[in-house]
Formats: sequence, structure tokens, C-alpha cells
Amino acid sequence: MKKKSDPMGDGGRGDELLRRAWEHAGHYHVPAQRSREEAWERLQSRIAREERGASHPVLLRRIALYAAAGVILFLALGILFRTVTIEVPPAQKRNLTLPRKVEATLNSGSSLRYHPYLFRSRVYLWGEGFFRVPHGTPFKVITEKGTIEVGGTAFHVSVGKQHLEVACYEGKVLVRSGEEKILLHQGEGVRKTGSGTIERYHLPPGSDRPSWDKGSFSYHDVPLQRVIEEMEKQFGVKIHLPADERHYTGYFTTASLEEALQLVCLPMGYEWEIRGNEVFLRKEE
Amino acid sequence: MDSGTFKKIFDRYYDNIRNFLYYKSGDIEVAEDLIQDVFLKLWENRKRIREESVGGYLYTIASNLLKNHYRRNEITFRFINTMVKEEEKETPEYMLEVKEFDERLQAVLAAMPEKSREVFLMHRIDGLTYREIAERLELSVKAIEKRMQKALLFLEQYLDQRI
Repeated sequence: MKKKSDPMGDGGRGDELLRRAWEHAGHYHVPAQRSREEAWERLQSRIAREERGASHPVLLRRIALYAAAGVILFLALGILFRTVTIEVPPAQKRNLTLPRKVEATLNSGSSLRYHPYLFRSRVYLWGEGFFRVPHGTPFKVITEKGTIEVGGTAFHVSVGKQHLEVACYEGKVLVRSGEEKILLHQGEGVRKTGSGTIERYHLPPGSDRPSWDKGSFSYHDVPLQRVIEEMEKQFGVKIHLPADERHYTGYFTTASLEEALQLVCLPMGYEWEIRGNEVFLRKEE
Repeated sequence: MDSGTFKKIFDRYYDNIRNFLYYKSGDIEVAEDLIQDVFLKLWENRKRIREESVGGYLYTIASNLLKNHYRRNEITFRFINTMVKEEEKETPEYMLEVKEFDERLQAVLAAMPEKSREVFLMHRIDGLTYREIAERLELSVKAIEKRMQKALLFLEQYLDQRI
């Protein structure tokens, strides 16, 4: 940095004085209250203070924005993944149309869960249901005991603690249970019991829907306990059955409880007493 | 502009701009308050300011802040002259004479029109060349030379009078 040493040009009246002022001013210093380092410290603390003050609203706004987006996403996902559960009370049946025009009939005491928006081709079943699936529509019934896969048929599923039973009334049905894969054609049924044994059987000729859908329940060599449970569901009563391992073959209808008890209990050698909503069974003397 | 660059700019310009504010205001308290605001503004706008043009930007902010925040009265300079101290071993008569001259010069500078004064002092005290001053004040070198000329004329006119 080269200073201009003589900007004053040619000499004049005040030449000497000017020269002196020039020199003198060159030795001036501006007074200081604080050093540059102190000024830097001060500036840094001011910057920190202002950024804290300024960044808070922005930060809060940002957090609020993310929170709102999160809530919306959560709600959207909630709707998308929402499931509908249908529970059928005892002594009732329920007809409903599921997504993709699948028609379902649920028996008393059954429950069905499905997604109205996502995974529309699958339902979760406990109890008994009859499904009519439009041709070409993939459809799955998922149960604790296995999965039933179809592509346009009519079939019946019954699932309980001890059993899984599937009957195919139209088309084809694939049943997967554990390691087993069973393909059913029209008029065929399969029954898997608690012990894991698999029984295939044929439906009565000409049947197009399970008998329970018509108010009639037919059994062939079925544990008595299961028949009694069905009666409980159909009539909405509690039936007290002493321990009994025997099987039952026959039928009952939902016309009246008294008649059903006659059809089931008489052949098995039971007397009964109805007290309100409860039925007590006793071995005949 | 990262914080490292910011520090570099601070170190380079702090003294000069603080002095500049003093030349304009004659008040070191005002100068040292406003210099903080100048650099705070730079920090806030650091993303928009290119490093090459930062000098002119800083001087402009300094001028504007002074215009907005400082109501100018008659100013009094309290420059510290190292020459006065250096020559303490000289005779009392000489010392008195130097002191008198110093007082007169400071008074004349305080009375000088601001534009001439700041250029004169930037050159004499900060040791900036005309080109450097021109760049910082965003003026032509010719304009700086003109202002210097006016400063010298002013000094010449008033130094031998008591103000």
C-alpha cells in the first residue's frame, strides 16, 4: 500500500502548513473502546442470540408442519388399512355383499373381518360362512386353521377350535391347511379335525348351498359337542351337556328349540329341561 | 459464505469500517455500536453476498446505518497522535506548539465537508490507496482525487486561521 506522498502539487502560500498537516494526520489513530477481538466476541454472542430468537418460530412451524403431515398420513393409512368386522349374534344369520361383489352368508356366532380398501380379495373368518364369488375374481378366506383360495365359485367354510370344514358347491376351491393342499371340485367337501385327520366327503346331490343356510342342519358322524354348539348358536341358548365323546348322525331345523332337542337329544338318550335361556341335559334313567 | 470466510472478512474490514464510521460521526461509541450492526447485517445476508463485492457492501451498510441512526451535530475528533507522544523528550515550547497544531488540525478536520474528510482520513490514517478507497466507496478514482483536492484546499484555507 503505497501512500501518495505529495498530492499537493506546486507550492503555494500554505504549502508548509499543508505538508505538516499531511504528515501529522498520517500519525493519527482512531480511539478505541474495545479491541477487534472483543468486538468479535460481542458479535458472536449477538449472532447466537438473534439466531436463537429467529430460528424458534421457524423451527416450531416446521415441527407443526411435520406433525400435521404425520397426522394426515396416519389418518390416510388408517383409512386405507381399516378393517371392517362383522359379528353375527347368536340365533341370527347375516347376508352381506363384500368388495368385488362377493356375496357372503354368515352363520350365527360367526365373525368376518375384511379391508374395504386394500386387500379386497381376502377376508378373515371365524365360524361359518358361505361365499359366492363372481367368476374370475380371485378370493381368499383366511382362517386360523387354513386358507381357502378360489377364483369364482360358491363354497362353504366352517372353522372352529377343533375343526376346519370346506365344501365346494360350484367351481374349484383350494384349501391350504398346515402343509396340506387340498383341491376341491364341485360337490366335494373336506373336513379336518383337531387331531389333524383329513376326511373328504361328497355333498348330497343337487345341493347348492349349505343346509344351515336353509335352516336345516344335517350331520353324519359328527361329534355331539359340535352339534350342541350349533344348536346354541342357532337358538341363542346355553346348553349344558355332560362330558360326551359320542358322534351324532341326523339333522335338526331351526323351526323350534323343542323340536330340535327332540331330534338330537332323544336319539342320544338325553332328557332336557329348559330354564329361560339355559337348557340342562341329563342322561335318561 | 461460511463462518471461516466471515471471520476473515471481519478481520480485514473491522478497523477500516469502524474508523470510517468515526470519520463520519466523530463519536467512537456510535462507531463501535454500528460496526456491530454492520457485521450482523452481513451475517444475516451472508448467503446473498459474494466475497468479491463484500467491501463495497460493508461501507454502504455503514453509511446507511449512520444516516438512519445518527443525528449529526457538530463533531469533535479525539484522534490519538503518536507523533505527539514520540516527541515527548522535546522542549516544552515545541511540545506546546505541536499540541496547538494538533488541536487546530483536528478542529479543521471536524469542520471539513464529510465527503472530503472521510477520503482524506481513509488515505492518511488507514493508508488506503485512492483505488482502494474508490472500490470501497464504489466511486471512480477520479472522484476520489477530486475529493482529496477539496480536502487539501479546505485545510489550506483554514489551518492558518483559528477556528
